Amino acid sequence: MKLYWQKKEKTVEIIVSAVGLTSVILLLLIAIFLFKEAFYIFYREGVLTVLFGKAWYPTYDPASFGMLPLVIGTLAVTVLTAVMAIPLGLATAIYIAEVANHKVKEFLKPLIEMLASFPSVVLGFFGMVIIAPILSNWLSPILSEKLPEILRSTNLPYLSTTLADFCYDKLFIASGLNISTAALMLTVRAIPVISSIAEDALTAVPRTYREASYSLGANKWETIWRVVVPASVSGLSVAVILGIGTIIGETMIVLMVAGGAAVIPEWIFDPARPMPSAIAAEMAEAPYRSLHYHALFGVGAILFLMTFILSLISDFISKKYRSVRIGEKI
Amino acid sequence: MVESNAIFEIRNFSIHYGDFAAVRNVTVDIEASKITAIIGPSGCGKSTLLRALNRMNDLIVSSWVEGETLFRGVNIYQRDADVIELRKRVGMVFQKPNPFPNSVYENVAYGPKLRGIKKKSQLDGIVENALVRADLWKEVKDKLNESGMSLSGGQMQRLCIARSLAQEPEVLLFDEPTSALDPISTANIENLLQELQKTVTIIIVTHNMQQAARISKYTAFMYLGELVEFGDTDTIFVNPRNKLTEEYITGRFG
Repeated sequence: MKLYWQKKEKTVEIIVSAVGLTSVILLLLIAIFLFKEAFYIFYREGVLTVLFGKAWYPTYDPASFGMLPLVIGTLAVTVLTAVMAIPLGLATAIYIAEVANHKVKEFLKPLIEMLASFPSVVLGFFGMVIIAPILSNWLSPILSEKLPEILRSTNLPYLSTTLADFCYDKLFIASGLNISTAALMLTVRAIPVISSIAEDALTAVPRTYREASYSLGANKWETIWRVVVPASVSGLSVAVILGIGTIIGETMIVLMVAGGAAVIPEWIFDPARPMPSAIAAEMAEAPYRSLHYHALFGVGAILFLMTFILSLISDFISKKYRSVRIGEKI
Repeated sequence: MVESNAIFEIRNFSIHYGDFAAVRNVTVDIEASKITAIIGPSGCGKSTLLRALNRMNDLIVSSWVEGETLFRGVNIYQRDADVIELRKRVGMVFQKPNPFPNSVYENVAYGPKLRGIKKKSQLDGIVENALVRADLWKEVKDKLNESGMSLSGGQMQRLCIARSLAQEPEVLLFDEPTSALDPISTANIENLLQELQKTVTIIIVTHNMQQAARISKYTAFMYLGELVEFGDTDTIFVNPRNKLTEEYITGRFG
């Protein structure tokens, strides 16, 4: 006969396993559902036509479901954001982990972590009502009218001709809702993600490495650049990759400030319709089981694959990193 | 007794961590090209004193000092002292071997590269010379590009010594360098120190009294932050003047 505590142990085990498995199975079913619903559009229109078609006209007759503008829209916004957010996020992490004194650090670290949970709809709203008007009403006249005038009046070769024409043509911002504004707001969203993970990676570098470096006559910057950063490079890459993952999946900000035009952006002040915003904006209007509905699931599947691959890469890097730490003697 | 050839002259020197005086009013001369051992029970301030000699204590924000310590006649705690230069001339080897997570070669070349030496041939020469001096060259000459972490504990510690030697220091400070090592590696390091003292002044903090007796010319005994006795190792171990020293050496406390 089983003892009371054995029965109790078994019961707890069954309940915990059931709860755990339920959530895993639920997520798996959603993924299967996503690919099942996405399959039809690729089957019906052809994989290449859908992936590389340049026209996203889902409600025209005949409809066209070329996803390239959406994919390029996401990539453009992501690259623009990454260019700003990665250096800023890593610099913030280095400042907090290595440079700031103890009191500042105690204050900044929780603050940055709180910023990571800032509602993105508020960031989108802020971008929409503050940043976008500043760009189109204030920055655009200065950059595309005043600046070329000043440049032309200098009468210097190149400056007064090529550069002035460039400013006149390219720095005119037709609408404040474009990929630059989106990238700005996404940067605000991504910096806390990148810097808090990167800060943890830097702090995890053993004190003994720093001591060794200082004892050889290195100064603070040499120690940071030659020892601390190289020793934490895998953790820093994970921070960057997870930051990029956040940017790609972020919906509300791009929906509100990226401009929403489903065309391939050619310049940083062009509007775009990144994948998440297309799904969010159109799903409610797509008739159930229509081609449009399946096309949006197709977009969702591509988005899922992108973020999935990114998290696989970061998982791979952090596993490799951990094995190095364990393999290290003493 | 050793004033003529003193490389460090420590005068009424105290080290504080916040309100706590870890080292109190120490006055002693350290002779050049000899091994000086600092012994004493845990928490007596011997490591703190050692770390003050190349200002590694600066890394602890709350620490501050009183009195003066002269290195080759210059006060290392004066306002315009060049800490970077001091640490190049006074190197340090730590309790736990701490090679960088990098190749053997890069570990040794770290210091020279800081000094701005970029030429491969010159670096190669410095690295080989330092590894030879640290008695590690034979063991690692075929795996210079392997990780410093892949070596054994004793080899890692000799790699750390080589890394310091590559800076051509005048003094090497050892903070219990063998306490994490097995007896054979310990013997190797002790032999190495005997060899090195011909060219480098060595100051070693150790928990191991036999080690101090075996390798050092002079011994300092510290207790509760104060320097209780300093003198020839032979005198200290055979005929200590102070009762505390005698009790510690004979193992009655510590």
